[in-house]
Amino acid sequence: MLVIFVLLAILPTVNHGYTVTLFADILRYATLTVAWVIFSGPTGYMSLATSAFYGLGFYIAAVANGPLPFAAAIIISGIAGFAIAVFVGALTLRLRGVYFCIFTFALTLLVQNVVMEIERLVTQTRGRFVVNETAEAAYYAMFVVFLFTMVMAIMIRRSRYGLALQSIGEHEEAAAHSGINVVRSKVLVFGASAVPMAMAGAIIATRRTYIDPGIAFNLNTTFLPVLMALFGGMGNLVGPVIGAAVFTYIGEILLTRFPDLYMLIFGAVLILAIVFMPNGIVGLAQMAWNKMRGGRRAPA
Amino acid sequence: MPDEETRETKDEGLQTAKVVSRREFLKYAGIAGAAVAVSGGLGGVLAACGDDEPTTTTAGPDVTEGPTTTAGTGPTDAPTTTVQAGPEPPAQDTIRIGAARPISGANAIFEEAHFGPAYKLWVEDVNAAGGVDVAGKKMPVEMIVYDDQSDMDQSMRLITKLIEEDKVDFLFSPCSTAFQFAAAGVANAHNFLLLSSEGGATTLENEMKKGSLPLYFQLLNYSNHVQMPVFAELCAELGVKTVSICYIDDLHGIEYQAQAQIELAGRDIEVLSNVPVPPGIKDVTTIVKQWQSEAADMICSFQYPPENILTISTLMQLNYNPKGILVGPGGPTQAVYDIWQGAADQYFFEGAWTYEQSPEVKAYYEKLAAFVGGPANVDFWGSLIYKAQMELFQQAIERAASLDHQKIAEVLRTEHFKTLMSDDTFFTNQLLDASSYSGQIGQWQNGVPHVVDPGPKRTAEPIYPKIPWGSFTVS
Amino acid sequence: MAAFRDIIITGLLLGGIFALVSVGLSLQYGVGRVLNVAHGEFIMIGSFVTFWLFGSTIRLNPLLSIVITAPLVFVIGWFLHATLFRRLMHTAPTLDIFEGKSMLASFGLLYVVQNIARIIWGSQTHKIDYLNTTVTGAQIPLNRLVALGVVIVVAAAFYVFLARTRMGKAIRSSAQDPTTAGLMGVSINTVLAVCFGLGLAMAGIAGTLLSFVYAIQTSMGLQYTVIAMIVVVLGGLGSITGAMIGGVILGIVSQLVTHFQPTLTMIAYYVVFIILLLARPKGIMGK
Repeated sequence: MLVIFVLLAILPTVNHGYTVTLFADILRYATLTVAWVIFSGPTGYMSLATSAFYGLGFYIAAVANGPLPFAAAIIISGIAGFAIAVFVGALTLRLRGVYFCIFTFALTLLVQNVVMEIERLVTQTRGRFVVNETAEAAYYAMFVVFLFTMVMAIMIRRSRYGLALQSIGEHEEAAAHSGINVVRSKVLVFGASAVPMAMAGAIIATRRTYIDPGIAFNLNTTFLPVLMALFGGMGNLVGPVIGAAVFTYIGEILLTRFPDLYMLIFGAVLILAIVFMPNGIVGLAQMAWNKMRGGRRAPA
Repeated sequence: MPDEETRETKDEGLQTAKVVSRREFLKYAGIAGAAVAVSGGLGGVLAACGDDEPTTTTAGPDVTEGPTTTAGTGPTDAPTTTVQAGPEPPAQDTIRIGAARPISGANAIFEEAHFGPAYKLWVEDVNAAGGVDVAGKKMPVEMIVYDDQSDMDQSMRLITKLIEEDKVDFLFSPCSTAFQFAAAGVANAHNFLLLSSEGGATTLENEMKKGSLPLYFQLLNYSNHVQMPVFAELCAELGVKTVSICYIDDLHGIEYQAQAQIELAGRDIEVLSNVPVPPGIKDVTTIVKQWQSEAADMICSFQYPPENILTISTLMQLNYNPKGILVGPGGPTQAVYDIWQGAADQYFFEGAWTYEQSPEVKAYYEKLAAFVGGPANVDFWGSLIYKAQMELFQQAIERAASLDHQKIAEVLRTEHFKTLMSDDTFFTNQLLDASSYSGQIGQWQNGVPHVVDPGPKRTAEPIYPKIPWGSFTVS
Repeated sequence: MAAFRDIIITGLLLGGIFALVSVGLSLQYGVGRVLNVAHGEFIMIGSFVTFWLFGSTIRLNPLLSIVITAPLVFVIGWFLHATLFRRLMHTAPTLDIFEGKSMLASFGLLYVVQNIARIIWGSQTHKIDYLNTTVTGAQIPLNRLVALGVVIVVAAAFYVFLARTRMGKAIRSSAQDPTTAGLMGVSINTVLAVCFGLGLAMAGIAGTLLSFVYAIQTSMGLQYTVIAMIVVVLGGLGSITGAMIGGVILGIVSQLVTHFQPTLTMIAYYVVFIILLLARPKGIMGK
């Protein structure tokens, strides 16, 4: 594990080319996926608001990066993401299951449309130019945010909030009866999970030159982390990271080999993965490991 | 056209000269790449070529009008364009060109029927002819195309991959204005030439004026470059006094309505209403009824294809027939015109070119139509511009006699070219000059797209007021 | 006053279209618990099959092609449920997990269907010019009126089917209590597959009707899925009446906002949705 972190840390010094861009992308997806899993994993509340917070980061970077240092723009994005997520979380307390899911989806679309209207009225145009950062700077920022996300995810899991979320996921009423402050746990963790999302947005925006609401609030940003989490497995935090990495990498290979059929194959692979890997890659690996151990034990 | 002859003879000279002298020279010099040539090799090269190289160090404009060659094109008539370039061809055998294109997703139509067919046809043609002639060496083209899924994140990553990992020699532009903004930045940071394809906006022009995008060239026309000025001129000519506008609430619509207001005001034409519409609107009856009550002479629909189609259908449905209507994206596409089987004949559209303008254009039109699966998929806004883009690209490489992006950009910046679109195609401040276009505003007349710009580009007199809906049908 | 009357009339007609694209989704979720993100893709299939038949040598009347699109999409739906969703249902430990997984599987479906359609029909924008007139006397668009008529007929027929037929009763009992229904001798697998098929068939019918109301593109599916989700949640998941009411509310709100400020139309969709959901988390007709 440590080896991987060290390798990731020194990557830009070894390779200046495309690998840095690719890994920055993998780290971005890993960050978004882990952030999504922090809240949605244990509670089972499927949030589709990732892109709303991510896009928020885009716009904060567009305004703040340049006048303020890059790091400041990232931190402001994180704080704003937290504040808005807490507000949204408080609003959606009564919603369960699929209603929560669709609500957060509509929220993303609402935010996108509101930003569009504001831009038309305020700036009289559609997009904004963003002050660019180098690929290396963006990579390191992404790496730091990724580490931060992992540490936060582990800490939340080990804290009383982690247990609270787990019991909410198993049986919300029972959790409330057993003295857990359901409201506070849900809202605070939802807020915390939005922090890395907004930060990732602020970082990626500085690699885009020009942004508009369609780019910032891209629906893929909402869907991909969910798919990656499922693909990797949500039982622990390694799953989402592996999911993000393998997903991005397989995508890359398919894309280069079959550009004309890429999305078709992508869809088919997705369906097969959901059907045949109910617990994701990590689940599959565990099953294989168990079988191997079982196999070894049998003759003994 | 003396200019044209000049250029043609010079082109011939270019080829013979290269074949004879450059190749020979390379054998002896044995210099590997263009880069080497620029630095160390340059002096020796120039010396070795001796008489072959008129060492004019003047800039481009002189070149085009420069010493005209005589009929016999011997080696001594070597082109004047390779002033700074090493005259030896590159060491590699093929030219690798990369592109992240929307094969799937919302913009897929652009790869299918707009710039997509233009570059594919060009690659076919150029490879059938043996390749692009770079300093006497015929270099076939090899394309690497990835699917960006109409997604900005994918597009940017794939463009970086093409440049840094696949090490392509050139990059073709991604689709849509916002993608081009971003791609222009990436390309310039890597010293890559980028000719824009589908897209363009006044916003980008401001960026270009700052001088931060020296390798970026804008080809497609747009609101202030110079569609709306021409449209306003046309309106004035037709005696239009009042205009009602509705525009899509997106970069396209916002810029077009703003420019239209400026240009129309400049010609004392009154804008009665100006309504923004969100993409994906599902009912425009209220807007059409408002138009009905305003009874403006001209209606402008600066929207995207689905919304433009809905608007025309609603106008027909409520049987409101304005004297004239200008339709934005989608309007110049045959498939869109065909929806009403001619019943919507005589609407104006942003564009424009027509297969009626010359037999050569007609031949290309037929070839293109066959390639894109029938005439329905032909676009009368950009298709001829994309064709010209490929011609400019090839000619610039051949004149620069090098794969060096800076040199090719210099040729593009300063020289004049002959393309299918115009005998005198050139850039002014990296924007395709207004005079180079085949037209800005078109009109469907009896099922045929025509250019109706005031002036010599007009291929048919504009019809105004238009006939009532449904008075013309095609079978 | 005339403006107000117009808003109500056009709003009702638009509501009919919204209801049309939504009832199928309501059925798929209400009984089958599949929140089908690929719903709009089957609307697109309906549209393009209709367009294709209309453009072919037989020049089939667009309304008549319902008899082809509906069964075709029904069979696809039945097959999908019998293979994909049934398997997911049997392997998922809880209903919540099944809901999540089936939704994600339908994402995969979205990409597959959309890209097959793109390869077959391309990405060009089309439309069928049919019934594009108004009812004589009144300025009521005929194509939308027909769409509203069809959705009322289909919904009524479905209501009767649920209330009166054996299969209908089986579907209702399965929706209420799958386990007991299974014990009572209802072949739950068949019921769910039929239900999913019927839900998609409605998408197919909607697609046929949309092909002569709006411009159609092979990438158009998701926007209708989003509309359908909003309408269905607004009305109450699984309720056909709810979908009709939700559609009409959204239609009238949309026309009202377009009348005053068109750019706010999309925002109004989501605001109405969010407010109603916060006030009534289970939708208007939800229990």
